[in-house]
Amino acid sequence: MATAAGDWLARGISPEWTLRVVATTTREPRDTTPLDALDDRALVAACLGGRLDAFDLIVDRHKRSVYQVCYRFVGRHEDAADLSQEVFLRAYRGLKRFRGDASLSTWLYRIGVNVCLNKVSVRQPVQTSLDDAPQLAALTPDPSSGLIRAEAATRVRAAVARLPRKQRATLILRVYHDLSHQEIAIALETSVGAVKANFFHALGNLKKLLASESR
Amino acid sequence: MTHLSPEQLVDLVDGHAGPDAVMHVAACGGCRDAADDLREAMALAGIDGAPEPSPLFWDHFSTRVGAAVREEAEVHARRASWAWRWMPASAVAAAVVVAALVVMPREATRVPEGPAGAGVASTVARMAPADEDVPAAPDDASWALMSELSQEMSADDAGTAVPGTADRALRQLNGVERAALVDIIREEMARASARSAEPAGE
Repeated sequence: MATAAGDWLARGISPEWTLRVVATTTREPRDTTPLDALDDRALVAACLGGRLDAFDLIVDRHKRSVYQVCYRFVGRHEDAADLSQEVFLRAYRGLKRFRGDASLSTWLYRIGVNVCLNKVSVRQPVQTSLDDAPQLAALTPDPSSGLIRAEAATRVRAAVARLPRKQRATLILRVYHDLSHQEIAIALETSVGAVKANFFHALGNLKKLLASESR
Repeated sequence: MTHLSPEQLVDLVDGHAGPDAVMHVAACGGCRDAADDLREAMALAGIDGAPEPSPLFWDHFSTRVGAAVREEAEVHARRASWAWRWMPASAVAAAVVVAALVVMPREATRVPEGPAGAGVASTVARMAPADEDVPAAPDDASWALMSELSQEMSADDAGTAVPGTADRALRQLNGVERAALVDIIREEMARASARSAEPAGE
């Protein structure tokens, strides 16, 4: 560009005109911040700006939690993988609607719970029968026995799968994903009071289910 | 004595209860038992650890989601491109409808300049079905424009020109499309005027 400006000057073109052209054709310095260094909101902005690799990074950061919440609902690896992909696709389609009021992870949980509840409503989740697992007495924590612990986990998972939808979603997000009641309220689009009430009833029902099977 | 509500009990086991609730539980066996039940249930629920698929799964999953997202982006880009390609055509069609509704009532209600019978005949001839031999009106640029544009319209297109169509079509256009429509109408009117001003026989 400097060479071109020199040519114009040599040909007697108005210096003012030449300066203006040089100024408007000079490129702005590109933001060279690596994507890894960006927080979630900046990644969303980059993605909306057309950078698909920014969305790849969003997937990498959140795939584990999204997969796990899906798995808690459907109880099968293949289904959880399909649902997780669906969650990220929906997130990509709706990225413009992410306002940033809540964290990106809470927003993804919200999509995840909706996707899972819709799926679960049309197809019963795979449920492990409580009869197939050890009795409640065997749930006593015993660090020396991985097998007993695994069986106990199976019983708990089966009991959680029997909870009403909202109670199940609340319990999953609170116990397994450590979300605050406020975050759960955002994810489930309900009030904090309703979340606490659902959590209370979920725990009560879980205990009843496990106890009834142990008799 | 009023016992703690479910919300207060949840706050208690979370460690967020107020001093009043803590004092109440110290004195109330029922609420203490209820709080202990909640803690026990939480411990039971916690037995089920996080599901962890094979380590190979995560890379495969990232690749799979990345491919699906790129496919989605491509489909979206194709749709957007299709819309832009057809936008001028739809703007021309809207222009025809608008022009038809603006010009035709004027033509139909024009006061005849000559004898009454001749004027009526002329108007009727202009409104006659398309398969009849309609006499041209070389002195009227707007009519010439309509005549030319309508030659490319099918019977289905013409059928859309019912009252309110133009208003509805215009309401559906955004600012850019309206500006494009105005430009198209102006351009076509200018072209038709230029043609009608050309000497005959050239």
